[in-house]
Amino acid sequence: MTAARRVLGWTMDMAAPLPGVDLCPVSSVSVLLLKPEYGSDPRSVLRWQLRLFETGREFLPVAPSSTLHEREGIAFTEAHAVQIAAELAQIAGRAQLTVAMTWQGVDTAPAPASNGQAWLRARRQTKAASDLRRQQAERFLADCTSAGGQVSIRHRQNRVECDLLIPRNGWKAAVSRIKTLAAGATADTGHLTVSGPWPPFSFVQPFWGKTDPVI
Amino acid sequence: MTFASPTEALASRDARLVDLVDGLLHHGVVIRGDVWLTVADVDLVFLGINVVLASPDTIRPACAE
Repeated sequence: MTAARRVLGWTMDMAAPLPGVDLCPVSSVSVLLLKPEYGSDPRSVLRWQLRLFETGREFLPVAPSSTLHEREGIAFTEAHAVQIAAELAQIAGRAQLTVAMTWQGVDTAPAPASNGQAWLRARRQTKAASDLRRQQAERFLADCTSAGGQVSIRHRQNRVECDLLIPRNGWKAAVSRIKTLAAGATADTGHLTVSGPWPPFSFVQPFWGKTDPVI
Repeated sequence: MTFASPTEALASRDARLVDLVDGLLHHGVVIRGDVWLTVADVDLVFLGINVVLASPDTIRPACAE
Protein backbone atom coordinates (compact mmCIF):
# COMPACT_ATOMS: atom_id res chain seq x y z
CA MET A 1 0.00 0.00 0.00
CA THR A 2 1.35 3.45 -0.91
CA ALA A 3 1.62 6.02 1.85
CA ALA A 4 -0.70 9.00 1.48
CA ARG A 5 0.70 12.39 0.59
CA ARG A 6 0.32 15.17 3.15
CA VAL A 7 -1.44 18.39 2.16
CA LEU A 8 0.86 21.41 2.43
CA GLY A 9 -1.68 23.96 1.25
CA TRP A 10 -3.49 25.36 -1.78
CA THR A 11 -2.36 27.54 -4.62
CA MET A 12 -3.64 29.12 -7.82
CA ASP A 13 -0.15 29.10 -9.30
CA MET A 14 -0.05 26.28 -11.84
CA ALA A 15 3.74 26.34 -12.25
CA ALA A 16 5.50 23.13 -11.23
CA PRO A 17 6.46 23.29 -7.55
CA LEU A 18 9.60 21.84 -5.94
CA PRO A 19 10.66 18.25 -6.76
CA GLY A 20 9.31 16.91 -3.44
CA VAL A 21 5.91 18.48 -3.96
CA ASP A 22 3.07 17.46 -6.28
CA LEU A 23 0.42 19.78 -7.64
CA CYS A 24 -3.09 18.39 -7.87
CA PRO A 25 -5.53 20.69 -9.72
CA VAL A 26 -9.07 20.60 -8.32
CA SER A 27 -11.60 23.07 -9.64
CA SER A 28 -10.09 26.59 -9.69
CA VAL A 29 -7.36 25.85 -7.15
CA SER A 30 -4.64 23.24 -6.79
CA VAL A 31 -3.69 21.18 -3.76
CA LEU A 32 0.01 21.09 -2.87
CA LEU A 33 0.94 17.59 -1.73
CA LEU A 34 4.17 16.48 -0.07
CA LYS A 35 5.52 13.20 -1.44
CA PRO A 36 5.54 10.59 1.35
CA GLU A 37 9.28 9.88 1.06
CA TYR A 38 9.93 13.46 2.27
CA GLY A 39 8.16 12.89 5.59
CA SER A 40 4.76 13.56 7.07
CA ASP A 41 5.51 14.85 10.57
CA PRO A 42 4.65 18.49 11.40
CA ARG A 43 8.29 19.61 11.25
CA SER A 44 8.77 18.18 7.73
CA VAL A 45 5.53 19.81 6.64
CA LEU A 46 6.67 23.16 8.04
CA ARG A 47 10.09 22.81 6.38
CA TRP A 48 8.54 22.12 2.97
CA GLN A 49 6.00 24.89 3.34
CA LEU A 50 8.90 27.20 4.06
CA ARG A 51 10.77 26.00 0.97
CA LEU A 52 7.72 26.65 -1.17
CA PHE A 53 7.32 30.08 0.39
CA GLU A 54 10.96 30.92 -0.26
CA THR A 55 10.51 30.18 -3.96
CA GLY A 56 8.03 33.07 -3.98
CA ARG A 57 4.95 30.92 -4.50
CA GLU A 58 1.63 32.25 -3.24
CA PHE A 59 -0.16 29.54 -1.29
CA LEU A 60 -2.57 29.06 1.57
CA PRO A 61 -0.71 26.94 4.16
CA VAL A 62 -2.41 24.32 6.31
CA ALA A 63 -1.41 24.24 9.99
CA PRO A 64 1.69 21.97 10.04
CA SER A 65 0.28 19.90 12.90
CA SER A 66 -2.96 19.16 11.08
CA THR A 67 -3.35 15.63 9.78
CA LEU A 68 -4.75 16.41 6.38
CA HIS A 69 -3.90 13.85 3.71
CA GLU A 70 -4.58 13.88 -0.02
CA ARG A 71 -7.92 12.05 -0.09
CA GLU A 72 -9.58 14.29 2.48
CA GLY A 73 -7.74 17.32 1.11
CA ILE A 74 -9.02 16.79 -2.43
CA ALA A 75 -12.58 16.10 -1.22
CA PHE A 76 -12.43 19.24 0.88
CA THR A 77 -11.09 21.30 -2.02
CA GLU A 78 -13.92 20.13 -4.30
CA ALA A 79 -16.42 21.35 -1.71
CA HIS A 80 -14.70 24.60 -0.71
CA ALA A 81 -12.77 25.88 -3.73
CA VAL A 82 -14.46 29.28 -3.55
CA GLN A 83 -13.60 29.80 0.14
CA ILE A 84 -10.03 28.67 -0.46
CA ALA A 85 -9.66 31.12 -3.35
CA ALA A 86 -11.03 33.91 -1.15
CA GLU A 87 -8.57 33.06 1.64
CA LEU A 88 -5.74 32.99 -0.87
CA ALA A 89 -6.67 36.47 -2.03
CA GLN A 90 -6.63 37.71 1.60
CA ILE A 91 -3.03 36.69 2.20
CA ALA A 92 -1.63 37.28 -1.29
CA GLY A 93 1.68 39.11 -1.13
CA ARG A 94 1.79 38.82 2.67
CA ALA A 95 4.14 37.19 5.14
CA GLN A 96 4.18 36.69 8.88
CA LEU A 97 6.75 38.05 11.32
CA THR A 98 6.71 36.46 14.76
CA VAL A 99 7.80 38.70 17.63
CA ALA A 100 8.27 37.28 21.13
CA MET A 101 9.11 39.01 24.38
CA THR A 102 10.56 36.71 27.03
CA TRP A 103 11.42 37.42 30.64
CA GLN A 104 12.66 35.19 33.42
CA GLY A 105 11.88 34.15 36.93
CA VAL A 106 8.91 36.34 37.71
CA ASP A 107 6.20 33.72 37.34
CA THR A 108 7.87 31.18 39.62
CA ALA A 109 6.13 30.39 42.90
CA PRO A 110 7.64 32.04 45.99
CA ALA A 111 9.82 30.01 48.37
CA PRO A 112 8.07 28.25 51.29
CA ALA A 113 7.20 30.77 54.00
CA SER A 114 6.81 30.51 57.74
CA ASN A 115 3.04 30.46 57.41
CA GLY A 116 0.32 30.40 54.77
CA GLN A 117 -0.46 34.10 55.08
CA ALA A 118 3.14 35.08 54.37
CA TRP A 119 3.25 32.74 51.37
CA LEU A 120 0.03 34.18 49.93
CA ARG A 121 1.39 37.71 50.39
CA ALA A 122 4.62 36.75 48.63
CA ARG A 123 2.62 35.11 45.86
CA ARG A 124 0.60 38.30 45.41
CA GLN A 125 3.81 40.34 45.10
CA THR A 126 5.20 37.87 42.57
CA LYS A 127 1.97 38.12 40.60
CA ALA A 128 2.10 41.93 40.64
CA ALA A 129 5.70 41.88 39.36
CA SER A 130 4.75 39.39 36.68
CA ASP A 131 1.74 41.47 35.60
CA LEU A 132 3.97 44.51 35.31
CA ARG A 133 6.46 42.68 33.06
CA ARG A 134 3.60 41.35 30.95
CA GLN A 135 2.05 44.81 30.59
CA GLN A 136 5.39 46.29 29.56
CA ALA A 137 5.87 43.52 27.02
CA GLU A 138 2.33 43.98 25.69
CA ARG A 139 2.84 47.72 25.38
CA PHE A 140 6.01 47.15 23.41
CA LEU A 141 4.32 44.62 21.13
CA ALA A 142 1.43 47.04 20.63
CA ASP A 143 3.98 49.58 19.38
CA CYS A 144 5.29 46.93 17.01
CA THR A 145 1.86 46.64 15.42
CA SER A 146 2.52 49.86 13.59
CA ALA A 147 5.18 47.85 11.73
CA GLY A 148 2.52 45.53 10.38
CA GLY A 149 -1.15 45.25 9.61
CA GLN A 150 -3.14 42.58 11.41
CA VAL A 151 -1.83 41.10 14.63
CA SER A 152 -2.41 37.92 16.54
CA ILE A 153 -1.23 37.86 20.20
CA ARG A 154 -0.56 34.78 22.37
CA HIS A 155 0.24 34.68 26.07
CA ARG A 156 2.50 32.01 27.55
CA GLN A 157 4.37 31.61 30.79
CA ASN A 158 7.04 34.34 31.00
CA ARG A 159 6.42 35.14 27.37
CA VAL A 160 4.15 37.18 25.12
CA GLU A 161 4.18 36.54 21.38
CA CYS A 162 2.56 38.25 18.48
CA ASP A 163 2.44 37.66 14.76
CA LEU A 164 2.41 40.55 12.35
CA LEU A 165 0.95 40.27 8.88
CA ILE A 166 3.27 42.31 6.69
CA PRO A 167 3.89 42.81 2.97
CA ARG A 168 6.13 39.98 1.85
CA ASN A 169 8.69 42.28 0.30
CA GLY A 170 8.55 44.72 3.23
CA TRP A 171 9.72 42.41 5.99
CA LYS A 172 13.21 43.95 6.24
CA ALA A 173 11.69 47.37 6.87
CA ALA A 174 9.39 45.87 9.53
CA VAL A 175 12.32 44.18 11.32
CA SER A 176 14.31 47.39 11.18
CA ARG A 177 11.38 49.31 12.69
CA ILE A 178 11.08 46.77 15.52
CA LYS A 179 14.85 47.08 16.14
CA THR A 180 14.49 50.84 16.41
CA LEU A 181 11.58 50.47 18.82
CA ALA A 182 13.55 47.99 20.94
CA ALA A 183 16.55 50.31 21.05
CA GLY A 184 14.35 53.18 22.19
CA ALA A 185 12.34 51.23 24.80
CA THR A 186 12.63 52.83 28.22
CA ALA A 187 11.10 50.01 30.27
CA ASP A 188 12.93 46.73 30.75
CA THR A 189 10.69 44.56 28.60
CA GLY A 190 12.84 41.41 28.55
CA HIS A 191 14.47 39.68 25.62
CA LEU A 192 13.06 40.29 22.17
CA THR A 193 13.10 37.55 19.55
CA VAL A 194 11.98 38.21 15.99
CA SER A 195 11.70 35.61 13.27
CA GLY A 196 10.46 35.67 9.71
CA PRO A 197 9.32 36.00 7.08
CA TRP A 198 7.12 32.91 7.58
CA PRO A 199 4.10 31.84 5.57
CA PRO A 200 1.15 33.61 7.22
CA PHE A 201 -0.04 30.65 9.33
CA SER A 202 -1.71 32.75 12.01
CA PHE A 203 -3.83 34.65 9.53
CA VAL A 204 -5.47 31.74 7.79
CA GLN A 205 -9.03 31.29 8.97
CA PRO A 206 -9.70 27.71 10.13
CA PHE A 207 -12.97 27.62 8.23
CA TRP A 208 -12.80 23.89 7.53
CA GLY A 209 -13.28 22.92 11.17
CA LYS A 210 -16.71 24.52 11.16
CA THR A 211 -18.05 23.19 7.93
CA ASP A 212 -16.56 19.85 7.11
CA PRO A 213 -16.55 16.89 9.51
CA VAL A 214 -14.14 14.96 7.24
CA ILE A 215 -11.27 17.16 8.44
CA MET B 1 17.25 41.50 20.29
CA THR B 2 17.67 38.22 18.45
CA PHE B 3 16.63 37.96 14.82
CA ALA B 4 16.40 34.55 13.15
CA SER B 5 15.34 33.69 9.64
CA PRO B 6 12.89 30.75 9.47
CA THR B 7 15.72 28.41 8.43
CA GLU B 8 17.84 29.53 11.38
CA ALA B 9 14.87 29.22 13.75
CA LEU B 10 14.14 25.66 12.58
CA ALA B 11 17.76 24.60 13.09
CA SER B 12 18.28 26.44 16.37
CA ARG B 13 18.59 24.90 19.85
CA ASP B 14 18.02 28.23 21.56
CA ALA B 15 15.05 27.69 23.88
CA ARG B 16 13.40 30.94 22.79
CA LEU B 17 13.53 29.97 19.12
CA VAL B 18 12.50 26.39 19.85
CA ASP B 19 9.41 27.82 21.63
CA LEU B 20 8.74 30.09 18.71
CA VAL B 21 8.83 27.23 16.19
CA ASP B 22 6.75 25.11 18.54
CA GLY B 23 4.14 27.87 18.55
CA LEU B 24 3.98 27.66 14.75
CA LEU B 25 3.70 23.89 14.78
CA HIS B 26 1.04 23.67 17.45
CA HIS B 27 -1.53 26.37 17.28
CA GLY B 28 -3.18 26.39 20.66
CA VAL B 29 -4.05 28.72 23.47
CA VAL B 30 -2.88 28.59 27.06
CA ILE B 31 -4.97 30.07 29.82
CA ARG B 32 -3.11 30.97 32.99
CA GLY B 33 -4.65 32.52 36.02
CA ASP B 34 -4.47 32.93 39.76
CA VAL B 35 -7.51 32.98 42.01
CA TRP B 36 -7.51 34.17 45.61
CA LEU B 37 -10.38 33.57 47.99
CA THR B 38 -10.25 36.47 50.40
CA VAL B 39 -12.42 37.28 53.42
CA ALA B 40 -12.16 40.68 55.12
CA ASP B 41 -8.89 41.43 53.31
CA VAL B 42 -7.36 38.19 54.54
CA ASP B 43 -6.15 35.78 51.84
CA LEU B 44 -7.47 32.33 52.65
CA VAL B 45 -7.09 30.15 49.57
CA PHE B 46 -4.99 30.41 46.42
CA LEU B 47 -5.67 28.50 43.19
CA GLY B 48 -3.23 28.45 40.29
CA ILE B 49 -4.84 27.58 36.95
CA ASN B 50 -3.05 26.35 33.84
CA VAL B 51 -5.32 25.23 31.01
CA VAL B 52 -4.24 24.39 27.49
CA LEU B 53 -6.79 24.75 24.73
CA ALA B 54 -5.90 23.17 21.43
CA SER B 55 -7.50 21.31 18.58
CA PRO B 56 -7.72 17.50 18.96
CA ASP B 57 -5.31 17.23 16.01
CA THR B 58 -2.75 19.19 17.99
CA ILE B 59 -3.18 17.28 21.22
CA ARG B 60 -3.38 13.72 19.81
CA PRO B 61 0.22 13.53 18.48
CA ALA B 62 1.54 15.21 21.64
CA CYS B 63 -0.17 12.53 23.79
CA ALA B 64 1.26 9.76 21.64
CA GLU B 65 4.87 10.96 22.18
